Amino acid sequence: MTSEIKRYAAKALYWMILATALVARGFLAYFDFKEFKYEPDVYLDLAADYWNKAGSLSLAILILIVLIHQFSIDKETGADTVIHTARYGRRRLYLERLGAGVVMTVFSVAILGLGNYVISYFMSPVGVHMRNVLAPYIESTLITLVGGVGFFLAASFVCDVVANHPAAICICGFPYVFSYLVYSMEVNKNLKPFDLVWFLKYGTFTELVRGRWITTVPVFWCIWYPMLIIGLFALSIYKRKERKQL
Amino acid sequence: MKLVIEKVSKLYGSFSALSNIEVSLDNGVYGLLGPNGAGKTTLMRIMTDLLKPSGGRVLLDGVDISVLGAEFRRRLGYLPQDFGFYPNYTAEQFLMYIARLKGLGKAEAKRQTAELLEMVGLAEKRGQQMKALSGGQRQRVGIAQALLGDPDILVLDEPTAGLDPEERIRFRGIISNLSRQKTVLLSTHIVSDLEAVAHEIILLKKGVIIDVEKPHELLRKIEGKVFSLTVPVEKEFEFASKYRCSNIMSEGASVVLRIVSDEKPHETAIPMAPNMEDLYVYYFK
Repeated sequence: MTSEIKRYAAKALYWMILATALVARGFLAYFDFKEFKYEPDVYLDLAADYWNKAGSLSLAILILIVLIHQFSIDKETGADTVIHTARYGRRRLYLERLGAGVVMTVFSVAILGLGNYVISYFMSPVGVHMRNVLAPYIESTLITLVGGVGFFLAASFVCDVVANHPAAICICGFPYVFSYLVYSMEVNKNLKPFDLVWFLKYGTFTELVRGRWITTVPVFWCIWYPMLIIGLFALSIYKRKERKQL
Repeated sequence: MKLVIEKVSKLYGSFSALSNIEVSLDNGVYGLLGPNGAGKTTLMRIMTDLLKPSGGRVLLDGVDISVLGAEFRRRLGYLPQDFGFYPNYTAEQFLMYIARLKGLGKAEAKRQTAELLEMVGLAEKRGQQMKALSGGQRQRVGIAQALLGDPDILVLDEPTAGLDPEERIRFRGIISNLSRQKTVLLSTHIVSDLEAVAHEIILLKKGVIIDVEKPHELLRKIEGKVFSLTVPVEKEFEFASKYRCSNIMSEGASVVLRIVSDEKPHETAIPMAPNMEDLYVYYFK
């Protein structure tokens, strides 16, 4: 698994996206500071609410653009035949890539979370410290971690099945983004459980990656998310067997 | 070690790419010869467990290769026809990555990578990105990766494609040295390569094996069927369209045709000793 983690770490795009996300957070913190200089509580609430927008979007971009690409790159480059005829080029490599991707997702959450903490601290109004909102921030970070890992797994299974990175970005990205948009829709005000929009709002990992537990019909989501991941994993295994890649 | 292809067939819909292929391979170099679309790549993909046959199976020492799985792949080196690579990797990085996938330890992977880069004449290009290498150099990296892990079975699909004559000679030398203790199956359109290294040649046409013989035996079968005929330029088209020609050479106002035919094409035609190109033309043109 180490060599797969090294492959991720060697990707310049990964570090570029991560750096851009942190620089963007720096700008936002600067403007928040200017606007709420005399209302430090508001500034702190915004800092602690990092995963709600900027953080969750940054993480999703990292997952979709960089982390899942490992599952289609062999096919895209034509290296798949050489790799699949190597001793450990099938099942073991697949599992190693999943493991490495999970490690990188956790690492990304940690770096973004820590980065936000440090940036918010240095940009904050004098005498104000994020420790006042640390408990909810840590909680939302942990929820993001769970959601991020789940989203990575689901998206990588999709990428593995379709063996096409842009297609996987669309399949996973559109529903993910739609969940953000629902909040600004009229229909959101009268959303009923098990409506299609309700389903799209909560059922595409977005809420979790935004650092929020889903409080509406939680039992359903406790079943839905594991089933979604297991189902996509089973589909990926089935396709790999069909393609003789396992 | 014995690799047996047992009644292998492959259907794509109603099209039969391979039909009832039966052949047994021991140590030595086997050349797979056939025109485009004969089923060579399909057969090689089945033999490397990349493709499931519609019927039949491939056995290594009596055990189905799809059952052996990783154990079979441990003993396999494969160079596909369309060799793909990670463009941003250097030749050395790519070989190291494949070596790790083949289960080599770090030190052994490093040693073999250096040795193989030297063997294929790319030691000085080890730090160059794959995308910056020429077609022939990439092909040599492909040959090197197939040899990583010292496999017992080597399946090489068009290994000399893109290589210049000097590189081809070097490649033949490598294969000749390996042939004593390995099973090597190679397909190529460059028939002279087969003549130089193959111990046996498998002739494949429209998904069916039409013959498996030693090169000199195959050549013996077409003895007396190759002729050299000198005709005026204006007669060239007449003869070239009537007979299978393995070579046409212009000599001033006349043309020398090398004709492969069961009967003597003309009373002035001179019988010639057959070569592999004549053989190819005889069976496939």
